[in-house]
Amino acid sequence: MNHRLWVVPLLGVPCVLYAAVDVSFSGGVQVEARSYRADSLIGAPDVRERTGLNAYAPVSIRLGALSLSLRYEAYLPPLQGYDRRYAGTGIPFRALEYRAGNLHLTLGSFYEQFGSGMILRTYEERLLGIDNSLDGVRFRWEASGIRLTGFIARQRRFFEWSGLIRGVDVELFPSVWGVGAPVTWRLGASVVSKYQPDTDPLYRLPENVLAYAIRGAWQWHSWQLNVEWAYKYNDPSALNRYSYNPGTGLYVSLSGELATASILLQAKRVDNMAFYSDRTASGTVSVLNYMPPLSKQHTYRLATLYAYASQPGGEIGAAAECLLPFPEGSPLGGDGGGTLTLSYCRIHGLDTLHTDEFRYRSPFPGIGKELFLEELTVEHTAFWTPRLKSTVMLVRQIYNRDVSEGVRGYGLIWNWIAIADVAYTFAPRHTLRAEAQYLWTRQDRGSWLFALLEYTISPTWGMTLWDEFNFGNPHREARFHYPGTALTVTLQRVKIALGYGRQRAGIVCVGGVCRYMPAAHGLSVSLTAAL
Amino acid sequence: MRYFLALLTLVVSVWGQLPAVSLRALDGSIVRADTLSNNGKPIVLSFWATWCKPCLLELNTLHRLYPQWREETGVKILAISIDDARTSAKVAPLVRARGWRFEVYLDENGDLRRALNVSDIPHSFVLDGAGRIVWQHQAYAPGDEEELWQVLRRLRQEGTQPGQSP
Repeated sequence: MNHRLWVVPLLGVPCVLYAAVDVSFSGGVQVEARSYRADSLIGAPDVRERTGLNAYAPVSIRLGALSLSLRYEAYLPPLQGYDRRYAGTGIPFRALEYRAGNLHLTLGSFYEQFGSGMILRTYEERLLGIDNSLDGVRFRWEASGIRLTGFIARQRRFFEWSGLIRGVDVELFPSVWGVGAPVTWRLGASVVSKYQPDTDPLYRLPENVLAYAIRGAWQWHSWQLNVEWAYKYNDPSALNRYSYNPGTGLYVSLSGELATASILLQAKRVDNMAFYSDRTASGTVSVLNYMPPLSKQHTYRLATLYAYASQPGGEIGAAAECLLPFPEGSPLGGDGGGTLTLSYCRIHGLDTLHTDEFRYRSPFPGIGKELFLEELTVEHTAFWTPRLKSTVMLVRQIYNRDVSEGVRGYGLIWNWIAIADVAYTFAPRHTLRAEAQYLWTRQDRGSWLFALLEYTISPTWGMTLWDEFNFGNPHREARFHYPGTALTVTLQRVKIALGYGRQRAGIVCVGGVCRYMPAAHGLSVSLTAAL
Repeated sequence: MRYFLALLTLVVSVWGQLPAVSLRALDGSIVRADTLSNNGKPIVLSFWATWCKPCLLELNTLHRLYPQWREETGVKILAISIDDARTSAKVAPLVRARGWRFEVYLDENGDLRRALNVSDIPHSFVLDGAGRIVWQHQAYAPGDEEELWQVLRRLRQEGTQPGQSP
């Protein structure tokens, strides 16, 4: 028994000290590993290391009003498609937080978003290799009807921190004080400023760049109106071709209920709003803001083949979505009810006129002739019986590949996409799901087919087989299959996935932010555990 | 060994309550996660997003079972949306169209998601009557709701019942 005595102080002391205070612990592990085989047919490169691994281990401990959070990350080496500058290991997230009453103080790393994010949004998206967290001091005070946030920080850049960013945001809820009833409303205003020394030998660049935004939201019964306006002082960089124009952004959304239909209307205009803590940066590194795109966020494989990337340099667009519910027992709703979703969006470039080398005119609204995206989606989902569920979807896209992917010579891609997804539970806990997808186009790499079969035994097992086939490629020798298989084991807090297959090169997008993923062929292992 | 087990039980019992992070209700008001309660009855916390197909499947299934579960165990289901600025405007119309009667909150900045180390969605938690996390599950496949129901029934049998905080 003696050799186990060390356990008593190890576990007992923290308990005795903190049980009365409120202690909690949470942690997790995520590991994504792949092996790489050169496959010249699909363009999978010959990776010298043969393997890649990304691992994340966050842990946080709360002791009463204090909490400590750390995240260990390892990229040994980074998976293909991730920035090679991540290579290595370290603890890029460390934060000590104090929360008591209305006060919330953060020392160390944090994520922050002001409004819809047009002048500030820092976030983590592991699938895309984005982590633009801030590191410094943040103060937040929340009381009845008011929320005030302020910070001074640097920004994460791989395993380092750079830049200097300052921000203040205030949000008011006058409805809490009974003002304006029966409409509930809120107002917000924010300011963000970044500093970077000017070392440019040619241009005189602003060292401090300020951006501000104001926003309002009004709700009456089911109707809700949101308006946000953002302005950024001139911030010349290679990205905007050293334009001394200011940046502007306008985002409006209106949602509500008409009879049984739910409706959402959105409009957005963005001009020169790329905002980085480092003016030499581009892509997703050192980015400070986020322009919410209007295009629909697809998850079916072929519907993401031509995924639109938001253009912070300049775009104008509108979107409408209507959801029609079908009640239980109706012909289109089945026993469990269903919904029909109609979505449309159209995005154009801005109509601008250069007045000199460093400036241009951009009249409002200035809808340019160049079409960036037009997309119409019709989606029907129904729960026919407790055992049978289906989704069918039809998408019509006109996609500007040159603009969205930063390439030349492809122009507009016109395509149709049809998708059917049927799941049938044939025995308690045993479900078979099948997907069939078809993308038709005469342009680019031609038409595609995708088929998937998934068999799940709840709550533990999942087996998936799929094949993606570029059968319509105008080059017959390039009509490749991209087959794959995966086995998933879920044990409550732990999920393990093993996969093997070919993956086509393409753009992977999350939230309108995209990253190019090269073709790959090999084994993949994924482990996610919540502790 | 008995001391070890007793201490371990104590440690586990003080782990895992909701942190004091801010969420947004569908009317835009701010709600602190540590103030979410169900008068001593269990809570199911389900992380989802408008674009996540398995999440919609799970919540639709729970929607169907909710009246019966609520009557038998008093459980309250809270659906925590992690939709960002791109899709958060779609949450309220979707909730209305599907007729969900859950309490729905937005975690746009991912504060609660990070605090509970939610990597992928769907990810569900069960909180007992005292607000402690007693069960969690990643992913959703048809039939998983049966396991969730067993957990709620066990909580009812163990005495974490209406008005009884252990």
